[in-house]
Amino acid sequence: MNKSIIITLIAILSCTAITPSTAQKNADRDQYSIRVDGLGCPFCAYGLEKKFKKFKGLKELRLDLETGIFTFSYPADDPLSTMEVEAQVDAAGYTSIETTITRADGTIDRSKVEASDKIIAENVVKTVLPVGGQCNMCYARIRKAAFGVEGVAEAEWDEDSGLLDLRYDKTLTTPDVVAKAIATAGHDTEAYKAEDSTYDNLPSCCHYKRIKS
Amino acid sequence: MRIYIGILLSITLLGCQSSPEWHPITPIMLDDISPIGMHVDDEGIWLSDGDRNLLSLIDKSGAIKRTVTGIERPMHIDVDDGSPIVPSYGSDEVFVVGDSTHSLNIEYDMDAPAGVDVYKGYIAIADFYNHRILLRNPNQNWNTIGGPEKGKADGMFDYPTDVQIVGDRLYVADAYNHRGQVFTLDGEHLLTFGSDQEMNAATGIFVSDDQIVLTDFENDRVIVFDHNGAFVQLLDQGFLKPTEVFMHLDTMYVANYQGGYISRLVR
Repeated sequence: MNKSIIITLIAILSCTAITPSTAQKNADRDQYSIRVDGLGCPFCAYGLEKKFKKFKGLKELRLDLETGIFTFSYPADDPLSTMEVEAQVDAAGYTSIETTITRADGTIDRSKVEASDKIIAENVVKTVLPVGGQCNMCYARIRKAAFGVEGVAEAEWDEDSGLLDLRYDKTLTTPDVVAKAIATAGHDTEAYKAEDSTYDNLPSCCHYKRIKS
Repeated sequence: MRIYIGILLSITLLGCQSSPEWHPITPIMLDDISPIGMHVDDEGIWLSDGDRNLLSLIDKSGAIKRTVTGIERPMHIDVDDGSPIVPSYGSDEVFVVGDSTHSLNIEYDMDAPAGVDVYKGYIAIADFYNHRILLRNPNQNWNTIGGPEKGKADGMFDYPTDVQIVGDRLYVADAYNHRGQVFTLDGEHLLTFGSDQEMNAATGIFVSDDQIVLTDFENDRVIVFDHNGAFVQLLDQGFLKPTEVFMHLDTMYVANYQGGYISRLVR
């Protein structure tokens, strides 16, 4: 019992000791944390890190390949929005799933790829769509594009079969709308083909065999 | 009858000698290493681990004999006269590891060097984001092959990841063209091979006396070719994201980025 009290006290004192320096560190810098999906290939993952390194002012860059969490700090007087950060990640060919920005003043901005809360369970139906792709990064991009459509409850794409298992609220959307969104992101479906320029801009590991009309 | 058996045995043995196939033996288990590059010699097995910014020398049981830290995202390595030569994908340098580790003086600005090979005064470097190979000859003159744009034509690359010089030839793993290419040491294109094997990211290459081997990273395969680029053998069992292949003393070693082990195969 005494031992656990001592350990607790040490822990509290340690936290107290850390707090001032942490506060000082955060005083002028925002802390960014982005969970990126599909970082299966080290060449691509390290490439993402390299692309972000080129931003002036960016410090404390860390990439945890096991969790896909990418963190860095950036000057608070030049704040980036979650959308700006995610646009940079997407422009580099990767797919952000969850972004958390802890501002220097302690406020938190967050965005996450998830199903809309407007979905009603009784309205959810299931279908399967063939979607072109070939790797983990394709999986992440296809899934994010599907969830970008209001009414999508679940979207699981299988790399081996090339099929998207789609569950959606039939009062909010249709498979056709989802297929179009996925094609816009660069992945062919039977109904809609990706623009050649979008396909060409995908990372090389995502250059899947195009679905023929 | 004995003559018949003798002829049959001779034919069998000759057959074995002309097309011996690789088969797996016990792998080497690793302790917290996700290998990308590998070099095997009598001293042991050097492995680069880009995830952990780590270079490790292990023995054939997997025990760590030595580690080197401080190199950012080390990739496909070579070892020259006992010194690891290490491309740093993160810092755009190539390091010679020794008592005084130093960066090689390279005439060109690289963007993510992914592989290096040193051979009789030559140095070849796979310059990943510039889609080119940098080649220095023994007179210290640099030459480039391919780049700066990616391309599918012979002599062009789509993110080259690994290189090897053998004799008067340069061999390149042309990763995202999913093939291998062979050049003279003057940069003249000689051969493109493996395009028909439906690989997905040919990340590692090794050239032995009679074969060329490519790792097929995303498909968990290793493919063996002859020196003319003709298909010899498909190895598709027991690999998990293979990044690099190496042969030493009749054993083929394959570094698996996932799973934490080195596959071993013999003929």
